[in-house]
Amino acid sequence: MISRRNFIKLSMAGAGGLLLATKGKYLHLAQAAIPGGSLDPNLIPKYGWELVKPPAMPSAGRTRSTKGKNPDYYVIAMRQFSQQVLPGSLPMTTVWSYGSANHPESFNYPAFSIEARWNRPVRVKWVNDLVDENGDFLPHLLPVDQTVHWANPPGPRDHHSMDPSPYLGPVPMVTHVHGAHVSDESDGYAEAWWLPKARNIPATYYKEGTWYDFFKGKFAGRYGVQWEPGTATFQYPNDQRATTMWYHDHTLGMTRLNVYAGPAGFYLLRGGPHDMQGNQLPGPAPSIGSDPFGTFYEIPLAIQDRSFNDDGSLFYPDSRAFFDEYPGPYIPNSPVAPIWNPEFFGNTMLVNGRTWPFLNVEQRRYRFRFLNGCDSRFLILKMDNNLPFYQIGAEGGFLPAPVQLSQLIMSPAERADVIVDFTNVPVGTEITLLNLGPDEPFKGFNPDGSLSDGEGGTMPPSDTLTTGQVMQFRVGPALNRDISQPAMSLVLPAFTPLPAHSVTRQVSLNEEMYMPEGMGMDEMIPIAAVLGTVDLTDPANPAGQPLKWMDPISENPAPGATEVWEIYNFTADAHPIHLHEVMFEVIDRQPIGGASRLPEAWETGTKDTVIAYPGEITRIKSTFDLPGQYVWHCHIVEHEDNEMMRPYRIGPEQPGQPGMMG
Amino acid sequence: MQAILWVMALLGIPALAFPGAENQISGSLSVVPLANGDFESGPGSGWVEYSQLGYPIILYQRDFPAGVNPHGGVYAAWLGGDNAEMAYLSQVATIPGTNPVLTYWHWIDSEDSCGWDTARLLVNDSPVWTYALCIAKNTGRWVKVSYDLSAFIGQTVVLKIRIDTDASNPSSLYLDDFTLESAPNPSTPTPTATSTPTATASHTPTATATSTPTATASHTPTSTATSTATASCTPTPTGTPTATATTGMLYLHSIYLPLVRR
Repeated sequence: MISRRNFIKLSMAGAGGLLLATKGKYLHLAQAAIPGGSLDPNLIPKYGWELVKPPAMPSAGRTRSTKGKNPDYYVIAMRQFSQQVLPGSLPMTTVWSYGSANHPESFNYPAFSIEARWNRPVRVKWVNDLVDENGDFLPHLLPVDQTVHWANPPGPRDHHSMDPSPYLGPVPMVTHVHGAHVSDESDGYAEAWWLPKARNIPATYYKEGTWYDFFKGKFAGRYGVQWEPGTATFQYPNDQRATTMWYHDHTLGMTRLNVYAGPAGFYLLRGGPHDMQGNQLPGPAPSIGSDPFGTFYEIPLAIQDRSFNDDGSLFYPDSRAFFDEYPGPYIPNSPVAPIWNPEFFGNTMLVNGRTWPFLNVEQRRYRFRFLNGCDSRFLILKMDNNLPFYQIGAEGGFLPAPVQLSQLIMSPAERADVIVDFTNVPVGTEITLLNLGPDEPFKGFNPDGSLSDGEGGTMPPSDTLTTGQVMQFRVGPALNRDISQPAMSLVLPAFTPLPAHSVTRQVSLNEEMYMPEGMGMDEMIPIAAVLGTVDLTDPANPAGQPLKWMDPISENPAPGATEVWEIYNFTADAHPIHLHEVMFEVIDRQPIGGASRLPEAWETGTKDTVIAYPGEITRIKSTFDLPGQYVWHCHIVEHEDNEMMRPYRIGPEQPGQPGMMG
Repeated sequence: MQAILWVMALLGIPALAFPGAENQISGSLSVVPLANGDFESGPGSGWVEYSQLGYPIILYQRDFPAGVNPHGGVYAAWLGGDNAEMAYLSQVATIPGTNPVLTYWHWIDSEDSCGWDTARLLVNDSPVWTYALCIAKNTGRWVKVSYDLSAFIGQTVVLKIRIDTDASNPSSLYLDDFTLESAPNPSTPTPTATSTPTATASHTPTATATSTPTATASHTPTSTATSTATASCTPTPTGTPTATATTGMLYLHSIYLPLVRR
């Protein structure tokens, strides 16, 4: 196994192959601010403005044909606009986000929350409205690498391009509700993207991804609704446990950029037998039309890292060299993508679309639904006064029992449903929510709890002046009586374990390396992280069998089957592994060749994203009940965009599906 | 005469709205009611109502979609709301003599991207003002709009509000409370509200073939007026081709502000 440190330690500069040790660079930069755009994050005032509490998304459906239909019908458009993401003394930022098409005030970054009720379907017409007022398409805000395996509207569709220049054309989008138990046509498959309905799409461009038409036909057959140009309509049955989900873009090879530009929001499912009854939990939550600065005791918190330029614009690297100073050659003269970065770490922290906000809290309990919405960054959240977190839920809904924690470890896309009790915190206290995770890829912990560098040493936590801080809580007196129950006395909804499994399969996480000409083994650089299967011919030496996006399906559960997946992580970093369509139980973790250990206390419910630590086998179990074409992938979206995603299929091929043999 | 259609711009900054901020036009106006301008006489009165797809245009409040109520009273008009629709309201009016302004309340409610669906104000079937019906232009509520008709002072003309939607992603235009306002002359501080005669119902024209090129035979306008327009009451407007429409400005009496106030 090649250690990841070997490539972030090293960089190549100049044609002469001069080697510069970047280990020093990384350590140095971690002590200052990490690199980013032209705006110095240290110059951004902290805790000068209030947290936004995103209201609920207004429903819609005001055409003649939708009038009087199911009230849970939405028309949600994704648009470009400006918003004060940095404090008011600094320029506004051009972002993308979703909003209810008929409610101009609902366009906000992050998007308003979709409030869904158990067993009541939500139907959404998702509109890609990235057009200007003349009806011409808007180009991407960020540099799009055309050489990764991506949507590629100019063609070949859903394939690599050999063009090293950034893509300037119309932007493909497809929305995925992360955590939804939903059939494939409504899941937001990576090759089911669509372009906006713009007037100037070049005639030779593909306007939809490879799978769009197939799913369009499937949806029409199932629901009698035709998808219209520039849109797709998805339906979510909401027949799963009440939980915290979120929705975001999932386009092949450009999710990192589409999500970084802003479009993401919470999807909160309430009610049913697996929700808490009555007023045991702190509430209320924001609702349709609610004041974004109103008093709420249940608040979703989307934490994201971003970098900015002096003009307020979002910064995202426009060259591979930003990552490790590898100067090229790039594709087509080497296998190294010219723009794509293996990971990206922003140098500011945002909560609900604002850098370093504060929240006034009362001396009472609050329910916070945390989301790690970062591209690559693992968060380790801790209150600076050691106030505990009481975690009651994760991705799959409530845990079997509350768990008291001193810190929350959250990989990208994980959610933590948490109660924080400020009852006994003195009025006037200002608590800073810290981030103790690293400013580089997370590799797990040393036995003493410090961050592991993967080689027996330690890695520094995030820069204490910037990314090491997230937000501030300011404690004031309670305005009314807290009728919620103390967290540790809560009896959470009944939890039914999955049935016994009938299949065990091995999958793998692998690193794809490249040795530049004239360099040695120690100077290899990462060019992709890939999934795959495992060769167990020699059980003592399991070997990853890398597979890429275009390889044939290798994970094909039978409909209704319960399977255990053993995720072998052969890379040097931790990866958040996400399966679509299902929730899973975490069975255990086991260092390859070592002894297994039980999942963490906060992983004892069901989840849709799990941390796979380096050098370990992470075992998960799930029942695959809805036949169709889905994906599983790493949720470090830079990885997902460059081959660390695989299609998987429940059941047989579907008649008429793309690429069907024969 | 300066053709002012005052704007207020929807700032185009989609963000959380701060309500209020209703602007006022200057104080003293003489209001010249159009025939059934507020639609409170219900359908079939004062207006020619046409829908290529056969939809009713002037509707009682319960016939509007959830969340939409008439701006005033219990009736309003709904143009569009479906694909491949052409629909309009029209009536004949005599344009009063001092700073005449057509004012109405509209609510744009579109699922489409810009560039495909439009609303047009036509005078004598010539468009004087075209605006887009698209998500970026959705108002989310009633907004007052005005158009300066000084170019037609003293003339009896056919006023028409028409929408056209393309084959996908429908748009709606809700309308209510039309008036012709005669603003005070800026040079005379005291408004001398000369009561300009109102348009008479007898001049309501039927739809002409030229104005409804895509009309299908199966749906005839629900004209209830007694006589057809004559050439004498539809004079050719002077200098009001489509191009001049851009010189007019839209006065939207509302404002959206970004979420920056705390």
